[in-house]
Amino acid sequence: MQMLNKTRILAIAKKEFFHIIHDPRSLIIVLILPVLQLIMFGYALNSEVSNINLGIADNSHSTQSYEIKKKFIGSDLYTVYDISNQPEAIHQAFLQQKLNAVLLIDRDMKNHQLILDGSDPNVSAYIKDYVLQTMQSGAEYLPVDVRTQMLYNPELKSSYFFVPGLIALILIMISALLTSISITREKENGTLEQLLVSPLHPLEFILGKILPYIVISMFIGLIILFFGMLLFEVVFLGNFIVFVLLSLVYVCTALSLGLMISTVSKTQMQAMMLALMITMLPTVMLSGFISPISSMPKFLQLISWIIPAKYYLKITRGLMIKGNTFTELLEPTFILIAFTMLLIVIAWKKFDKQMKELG
Amino acid sequence: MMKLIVIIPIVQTILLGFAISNELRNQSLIIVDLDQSSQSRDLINQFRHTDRFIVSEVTQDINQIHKQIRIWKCNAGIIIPRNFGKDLVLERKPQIELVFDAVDGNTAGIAIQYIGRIISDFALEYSSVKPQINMNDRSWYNADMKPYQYMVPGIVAVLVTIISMLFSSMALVREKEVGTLEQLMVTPIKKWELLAGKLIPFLILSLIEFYFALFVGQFVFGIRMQGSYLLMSILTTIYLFTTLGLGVSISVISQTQQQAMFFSWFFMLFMTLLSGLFMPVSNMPDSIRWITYLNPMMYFVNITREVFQKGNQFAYLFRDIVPLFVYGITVFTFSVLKFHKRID
Repeated sequence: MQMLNKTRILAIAKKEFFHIIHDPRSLIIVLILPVLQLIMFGYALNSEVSNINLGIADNSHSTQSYEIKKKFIGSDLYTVYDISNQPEAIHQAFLQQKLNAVLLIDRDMKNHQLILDGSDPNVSAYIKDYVLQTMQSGAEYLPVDVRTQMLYNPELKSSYFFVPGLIALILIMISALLTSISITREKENGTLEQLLVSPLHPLEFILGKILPYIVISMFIGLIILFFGMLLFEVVFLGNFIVFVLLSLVYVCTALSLGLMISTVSKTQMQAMMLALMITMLPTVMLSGFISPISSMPKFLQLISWIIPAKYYLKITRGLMIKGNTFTELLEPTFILIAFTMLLIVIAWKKFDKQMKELG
Repeated sequence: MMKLIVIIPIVQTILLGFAISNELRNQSLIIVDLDQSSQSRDLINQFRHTDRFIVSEVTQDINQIHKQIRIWKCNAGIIIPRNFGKDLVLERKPQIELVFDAVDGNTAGIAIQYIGRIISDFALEYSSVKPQINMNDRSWYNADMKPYQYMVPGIVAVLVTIISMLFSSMALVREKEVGTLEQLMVTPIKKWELLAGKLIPFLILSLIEFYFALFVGQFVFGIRMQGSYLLMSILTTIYLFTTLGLGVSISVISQTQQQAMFFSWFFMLFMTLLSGLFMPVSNMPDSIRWITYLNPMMYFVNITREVFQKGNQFAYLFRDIVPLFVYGITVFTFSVLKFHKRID
């Protein structure tokens, strides 16, 4: 293989930059979207239940039942309504979405019943716990004292968890999605064929194409990091240089994914759909971004092993929140590097074949 | 292309349905047993007998807890103190310490509740003072409290939004990009005829996808549609007017397919985040909540869930249907007005 010409690579890169800058709409979205996402996640996503609409049917009308009712009325957490025992009335209340749960106080004060609107099981699980706690509050009988210590995130801030995830999402979105679309667009428009009959070596073309997106994604990734730390006080305990280096590794993995997608797509729409399916959806759902992988069914856990974001998430969360050292993160790093090499080989083989077919 | 259109909804419904379940499972625990009595061993067994937790190690070395949590080997550690067994029997209130990896604060919070419940259930066996209050609970509409029944209708609603908005906008922009729109311009075809011809296929396609995904969801997750299909179809069609209208608007402001895709993605992302799909609207801070009232998807997700799970009827869904209707008409009319056969 002859020496790759640096001028030609830079020429392609410059042309790509030119295209990007002259598409202000895409550029603005690509810049604004992550920041808005950050803000949205930060302020909107909160899974603590803040208000429970509780209906109480008091069948006992005793001082004890009154004591119980007082506990709920006195708490800010509940809005208490009176309701009758009738199942039809309760069903109506649930249909009209007026109540989250109904407490039936037993006439003999022995066995009470809590009926939950189970249509949102997450919320009803919380409600069940809260009601039980409120009912039992004031009792002195717990035989064991339990102390809790929360490591790394004592205030349980959700931003600590999702800001690294957002960085992973943005990086793969820009690197894989944009690259694959850009290359496929050249294919669709026919300009790819034209470029390849020039003295330009395919590898020079690819490197030139990728360069701008590396720069852009690292830039935006750092912006998210910056805003995350600024707006939500996310900590950064680890080594920043290591973070930048390992992020570059991840960007390379994402880029090689984009390359592979572009080799199998004929139209931009195809590339986009494939890219979304292979990058966005799995990253959001299966990488541990929102919910822990350990809680997922086994077959999904297996799939998560081939999702690059899963490893990058461990890297970013480890570096930022736990202050992990590079040695402690060797395993995910190696896996990302292995992925990258595998993807490049596959993309290269496919690309080479297509080139030969073009004559 | 057709293959993708069919496969994507199925895959997404199944994946999301299984993945976004918030049921805690397989949290790995390291237990430091400084007591090694029959009581402490009994307590440890409580954790082995549930699939919510995995006891990865039992040790005497307290330092192991921080070490293992740090290198991501465990999620939490439990320290059982010396004389735990004796203190428990003599009702001297021994102190158990829990140490959590709180990077995922949400999961940590949930795990604490479960561990606390397991410990207190265990310890109550040794208490002479039994709780006075006995409470049973029952969950209506979703007896197993399985998250699928709740998630799947929501996921399908999002799917329909994506398909209708994304494809309609891209299809319209492609004509602009490729130049065939210009060609259509010189034909006698009227604006509304062009749009109707373009959009009706997507309306039908979206409806088909909706039911297809719903059936797949019911089949895979074992859940049942409780409500009226007719009602659901009518309401979905109303909602589709909004999304297709948005698709048209996006095609107006975009010059390339890539832009159309980004704009669609932009809208979809925020509509989805603020629709109550992942987080109940009632949990959101007030400042964010008012934005959700402007989100047509929020009403649609709510309607889909209510009709699917509770078989809710037209009369009770008025609060959601009216905004949907208003949105449908205004957005669609507005975008059609803005759509020109010309290229700007």
